Parts: sequence; C-alpha cells; structure tokens
Amino acid sequence: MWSRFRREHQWQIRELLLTLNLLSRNASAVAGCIIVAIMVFMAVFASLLSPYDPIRISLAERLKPPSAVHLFGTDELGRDILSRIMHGARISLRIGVLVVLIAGGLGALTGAISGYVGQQVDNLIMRVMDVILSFPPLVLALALAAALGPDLNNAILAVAFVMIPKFARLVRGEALAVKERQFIAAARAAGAKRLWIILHHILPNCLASVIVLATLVLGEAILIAASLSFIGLGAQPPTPEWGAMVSVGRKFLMDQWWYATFPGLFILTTVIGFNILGDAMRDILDPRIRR
Amino acid sequence: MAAPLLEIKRLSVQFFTHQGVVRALEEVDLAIEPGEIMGLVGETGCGKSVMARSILRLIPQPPGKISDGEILFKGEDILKVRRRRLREIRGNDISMIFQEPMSSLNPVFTVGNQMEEVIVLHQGVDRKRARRTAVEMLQQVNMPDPEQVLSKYPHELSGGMRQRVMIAMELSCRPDLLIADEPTTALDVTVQAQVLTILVDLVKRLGTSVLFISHDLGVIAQLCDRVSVMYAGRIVETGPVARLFAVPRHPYTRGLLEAIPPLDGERELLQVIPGIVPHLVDPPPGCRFHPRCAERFGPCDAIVPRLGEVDTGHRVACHLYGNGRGGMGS
Amino acid sequence: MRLLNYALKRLLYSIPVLIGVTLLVFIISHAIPGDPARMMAGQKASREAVQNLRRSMGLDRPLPEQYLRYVAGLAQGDLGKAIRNQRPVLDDLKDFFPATLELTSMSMIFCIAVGLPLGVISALHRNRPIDHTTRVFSVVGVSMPVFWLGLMLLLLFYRDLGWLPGSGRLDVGLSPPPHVTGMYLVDTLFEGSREKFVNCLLHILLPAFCLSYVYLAIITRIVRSAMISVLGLDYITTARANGIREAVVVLKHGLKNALIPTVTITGLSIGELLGGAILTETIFDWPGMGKYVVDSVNFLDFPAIMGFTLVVALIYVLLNLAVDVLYAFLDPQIRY
Repeated sequence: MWSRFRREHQWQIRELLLTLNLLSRNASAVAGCIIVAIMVFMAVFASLLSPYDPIRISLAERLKPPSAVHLFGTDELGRDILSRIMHGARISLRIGVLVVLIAGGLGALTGAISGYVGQQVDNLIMRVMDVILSFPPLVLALALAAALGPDLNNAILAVAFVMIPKFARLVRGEALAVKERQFIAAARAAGAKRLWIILHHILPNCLASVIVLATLVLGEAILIAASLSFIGLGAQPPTPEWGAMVSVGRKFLMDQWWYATFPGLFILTTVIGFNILGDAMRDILDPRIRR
Repeated sequence: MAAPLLEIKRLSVQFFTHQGVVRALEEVDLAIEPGEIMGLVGETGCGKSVMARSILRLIPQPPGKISDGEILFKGEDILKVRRRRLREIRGNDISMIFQEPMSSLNPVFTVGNQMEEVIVLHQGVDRKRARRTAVEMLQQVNMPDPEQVLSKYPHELSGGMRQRVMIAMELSCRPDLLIADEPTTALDVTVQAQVLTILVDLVKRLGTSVLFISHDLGVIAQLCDRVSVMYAGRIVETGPVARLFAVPRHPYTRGLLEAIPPLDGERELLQVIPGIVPHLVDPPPGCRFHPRCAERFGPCDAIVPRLGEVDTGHRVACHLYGNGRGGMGS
Repeated sequence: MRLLNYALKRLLYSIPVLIGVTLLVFIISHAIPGDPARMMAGQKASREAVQNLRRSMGLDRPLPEQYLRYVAGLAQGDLGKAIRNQRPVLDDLKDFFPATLELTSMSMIFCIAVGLPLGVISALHRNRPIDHTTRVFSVVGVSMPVFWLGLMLLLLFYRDLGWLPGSGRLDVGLSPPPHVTGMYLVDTLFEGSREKFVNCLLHILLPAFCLSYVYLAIITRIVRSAMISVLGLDYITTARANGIREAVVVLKHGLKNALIPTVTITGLSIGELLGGAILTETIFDWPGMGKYVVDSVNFLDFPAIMGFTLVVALIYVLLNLAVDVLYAFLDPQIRY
C-alpha cells in the first residue's frame, strides 16, 4: 500500500525531496527554520517547559527585574513573564495558523474560481478584492474587530479577512496561466465539471507559490494581531498574548523595562523567522533555480 | 604601408565562473586599416562579442578579466589609458552598435534626449546645436520626419527605425572606428538589407572604419573589404574578402563555406562540420579545431598554430601551412 | 496630453472603488454588529436614545435603503457623532488631521531621503558589508512591531540618554504657534520662532523615525533589487559605450528605470504608514488621527472608529491614484 502511494505520487515526492535538499543548503532558510522550530517547540511544550504557572498570581513577587529565579522578570501581579511568553507562543502560532488557513482557503478558492471562470465573475471578484485592498490593513482589521467585539477570535477573523485578497490575487494569476495548458483541455474534454477541475488541477499547481505566501502571511498575521491586542481589540486580559503584554508593559516602561521588552522581542524574532523562511522558500521554489 | 587604425595584439580574456575559468579569447591578433570594413565571422559563442566589447573595455571585470594583450588605437594602448581618456574615446573616437535595438535604447528617455546627450558630451556644444546635429544625422540615415522622431520614445519606433537611430547616434561624433556587433541579426530580412545599405553608404561617405561582426557569411561577403574568421576564441584565418572566400585555406573556413547550401544545382546532402564547438573551460590542446578537422596530423593536438602569411594580406593559423612556431612570420 | 488623459481615466476608475469603500464601511458599521444602534449610541446611552437613533438610522428599513441614507449623509459630511463628546466625527478628524499629516510627511521624506541612496549604494556594492547590513536591516524592518520599536526608542533616547523628549509635539511650557497649516514645523517658521521650531523638530524626530522604520526597510530593498536588474540591461552598456560617466549612467539612466517598481511599492507602503501612525501616535502621545482612533477604541466610540476608517480609506485611495499618475510619468510605455 505504501509502495502504491509512492508510485502514484513519485513526482511530488521527488519535488519535495529536492526542496528539502535545497533548503538545507541555504543558510538563511536554515536560520528561519530554526527560529520557527524553536517557537513551535515552545508553543507545543509550553506547559512542560515553563518554570512557573503563567496565571499564578503572587503579589509578593510583583515587578521583579530579571534574575536567576525569573529569567525575564515578573509582571504587576507577580506572574513569571517567561512562562507567560511561552504560553503566548501558543497563542501567536494559533493566530497565525488560523489566519492562514481561513484566508488561504477562502482566498485561494476565490482566486481560482475568478481566474478559471473569467469574464464577469472575474471582474466582480477582483473589484471586491480591490475594495478590500483600498484600506490600510491595520485600519480595516481595526474596524472589523471593533464591530465584532473585542475578543481574540474576532481579531483572528478580522485579520483573516484582510489577508484574503493577497491569496486571491496570487492564485488568480496562477490560474490564468494554468488554465491554458493542455491537460486542462483534456480534462474538460473528458467531461470534468469546473469545480472538480479547479480543485484537482488548478489549485495543486499553485501549491508552491501559495506555500511561500502562506509563510509570509503567517508572520504578518501575528504582527497585525499583536497590534490589535496592543490597542485593546484582540486578546483580553489575562490572556498572555505578546501584544497585550507589551500594552500593559507600557504602563511600567520607565521603571520596569523588562515587562514590555521581552514579549515584543519575541514578536520580532518570530516574524523574522517566518519572513526569512518565506523569502528563502521563494528563492528555492523559483523554477529557474531548480534545474 | 600606413599604420593600422586599430591593432589588437595577443588579446586574452577570461571569465571566472562556477564551472571554472572560461578562456573566451586566446591571443587574438587583429588589425584594421583606416577606412576599411573588416568583417569578423564565426559561430555563436566563438568570442566575437567578447572581442568587440573588449576593445572599449566593456567587459565587467569580475567575472571577466583581460589577462593579456594590447589594443593599440592610433598607437595608444586602450587597455592602459586612464578612465577619463577612455570616456573620451568611447562614443567619440570609437563607437559601437549592438544587436538588439529594442533593449539598447533607454525606454524612459526620448530618442532626442539620448542622441543629444552624446553629442553634448563629446562636442561640448549646447542642446540646441546638438539637436540640429541629431536631425542632420537622422536625415543621413533616411529617417522620415527627423524632428518628430526626436521626441519619440524607443518603443514607439519599429526595429529598423531603432537601429537606424543607433547608427545615427553612434556616428554623430564622427568616430574613426565603428564596431557593429551583429547589427541586423535581430531584424526582419527585408529590413536588414535596408539598414545595411544605409550603414555602408554612410560609413563610406564619412570614411569611418568598421569592424563588422556577423555569423552571416553572405552579408560579410557583400559588405566587407577584409574578413577574419574566428573559432573558439582564436582567429584562424584573415584576409581580403574575395580571395578568402574564393580560396579558403583553413579547414574550418572551408567547412563553413561548404556548409552553405547551394541555391542552384542538384539537391545534395547538407555538408556539416562534424562534432561540436568545444567548451571553453577546458579547450582542446594545440589547435582548438583539431578534434573536428579531417586534415589533422602530428603537431595539431600539441602545438598551437600561429597566424602566418600564405599570400599577400592573407594569413592562416594552421599547421598545414607550416605555421607552428613564433609570431606572425611570412 | 497623454499623461492628463491617463490621470483622468484613473480618476474615473477610482469612482467604483470609492463606492465600494463606502459600501464596505457601511456593512461593517450597520450589518455586522448585533445591535448597530446600540454601538453607535454607546454602552451608556439610555434606552430611549438608542431607540431614537435606531429610527434616525432607519434600521427598520431594508438594507439598500439604509445604505442610500448613509451615503446621503456622507455627501453632507455627516460621519455621525462621537459618543464621548457628542461632536461630529468629521470635526474631530479635521482637528487631528494636521498632526498626522505632519508626522507621515516627515516619515515619508526621511524614508525617501535615506532609503533611495541606501538602496543604490547597496546595489552598487553587492555582497559587500554595506549590502549585507542593508539586507539584514530590511528583514528586521518588515518584521518589526512598530509599537514595540517605539517603546524601545523611548527607553534608549528618552530614559537612558535623555537626548529627545518622550511625548507630545512641543514642550509643555511652550505655547503652540498660531494656526496656519496646523503643522507645527511649518507654523513655527511662519511665527518666526526659532526656539519653537527646534523644539518641534526634536519632538517629531523619534516618532517619525519609528514610523518610517518599516517603510524604510521596504524601499531600500526594492530600490536595491530594481537597480541590480536595471544595471544588467543593454541600454546601460550602450550608455557606457558612449563614454558617459559612470555616475551619470547609474543615476540618470539606471535610477529613473529603477524608480518605476519603487513607486509601485510606494503606493502599498503608504498603507503601512497610515496603519503604523495609529500605533506610533499612541506610543508618543502624538495628538493625531491615529491616537484619536485608539482613544475611541478605549471608549468603545464606534461612530468615531467608523468615521476614521472611512476617511483614511478615502485618503489612501486618492494617494494611490497620485502614485499611479507618478508611475505613468516615469514610464512612458504606460500612457498608451
């Protein structure tokens, strides 16, 4: 059974192995991978790794500077900041992944339909995308999050909405290119329905560039969501989301510098990781280089 | 005999690439007299363009490198002059036109702007005077409505018109030598003839020497006074056009001429030169053509043949004519 | 003139987009919340007030009719009343607009003045130390949480070094210049007060740098890659072969072509600036529209938020239009 799978998908498996090989040679890709891996590791094993309970209040320990006992110090309720940051990784990654899945799924499907069907449908969909893109991303996400109510899940929906046009435009472009190719005509001649063709032929051919975009969008989503939380529209206390922590930390900035510094540093590092990885993957998946 | 206008001696150019050192030009000798049209013929990849660009030092220095040789222009070695003098020479004493007229002109500036820039730079006149010169030059290349053309952008002109603009631009400062690197290869056949006629008329009138590079033997035969044949980075034969084409000496030249299918006569199998052009990272030892040569013998795979006279003004680099040792002997 | 034709065509094309923008804001403000009237009136408003608002918003009418009412209101400049001060939102925004304009303009100037040369130098010295530094800076730039950067800048320049002030547009002791444009840097020059001008400059330095950080990274990267592609093209070789000085080849022949993709990215990056202004103004207590909307969020001042969103989107569309025209100005092939 495994050998049958291998046989049927041997082309994709070869491509995958080639990608991994090229990735391993590219220094920045490796760096990006490491950063992302660390964050994922932290997120998954936060409960095991964190030295303290992130919600355990200890007023005697409030606002202590970084020390051997509390590596990143404590917050105004005496909670260990490192532990909270680790649990925050879980939240941020969840935000990123959900945004990418929602925006990527809806956006890719919309873009594929738009590109493949063409004509009026294409026109209409692209005008809608233009309208969404007429708003600065943070501004639109802010408005949506405000209308939906201050809650992390609403923030995720808001950010996802803002990211849809990126995927839609990308996939539409690819769909336009792919739809002229012969195997599409063959499928149509064999009587395949449009939706089937879109799902089975168009979308898989866009996979490479969608993956690159998804990686970059993941980072951007974490950034926008953190900004929303900072303003007060995303994660609500006591959720240890990084942006929210910086927001509270701001009040204590002058005397307790560690509170705002470390969570923000983690935001920066995580997004850098995804950006480097995404850029490296874009270079690797460039068909000219793959020869 | 008067001194040649341009004398290239032992020019060697290398490129440092991932695959190794590409020996693009190897001890190339070439001389161009004042007022003559010298053809340079050879297959794609033989080094013609590299040589053309070397004359004006347009080879990017990494990854390229001019490792040896002299390029004497009116006695001055271009390879050694200071940058300021080089800029004086470029576009002024020696000019160059390239193969792709579409991409050789800057798309965001008008034709007039680009032509006037060169004229103002080298002749030190003001824009108005430069504009008049530009109009005159466009008239010389039979451009209809020259004033209009000056205010157009390159993408508004056809390929033939663009190439005529290039010719006008490069000859506007009355250079002594024009290097034409496959100027008509990218044009339609009908337009080719037109542009070539205009070019030849103009250079004859101005007395400009031309280094005319092409892989088209027919064009070379029609236009040039003398021709040099290049193979794998070396000059293998050089001489007056009529004589060289009538009695080609070098086996490669003979192969080239025989490969041209006859227009009349019986239909025969196409004559080809067996084998392929060598990779210049690791060229064959001795004569670079020897692996494909039907007449190779003893020294061919060991000793590099040098150009030697077989007839007045006609030189060949081939052991068949006893040209093994030393420099250019007679 | 071709360029003018193109500009008019683009303007015409913008109209459906602008309509779409109003539609989207309408949907967000009227259709999405559970109780739009309650959102608009505020959590503290009385039952009666909410009912009144419901009737005047026409919430019992069909949606299309509501939309037309909304647009009619917009045409008269009615963006609703801010909950916390009962002032028309448009008036509030007008008050705060100059400060934001001043901040974003300074940032933009800074970005172009630094980013352009940095990108060119980076392209000319590929793979040398300055190039590597620039590329690292670029990646960090696009990954940077603007609000965090602002706080770090405050720690360094305000708390530790004490070189620059930490908030506001002007020292508390000084009175603002008489209003001419609303932009203090300009107005202090009109007033002729050098002391105030310098003071304003010091106050704007940190926020402007913070705001421009992201865009600076983007513009440097795009200029670098555009220059690298352009410098490999044939017409550059032609220019050199004609004896033109290398500096002129790069800056005249090369840069004008490289600016084309740069200007395209500029349009998108204005969005970054407008969004980043929200965060930057909050951190530095800069009394602009960005701080206004964040305060509105804290007050749950829904009409203010929606008014802000609409106005910013409108500005963004118009700015992008200007950028498109600039693009056509640079690239003659677009005009046809």
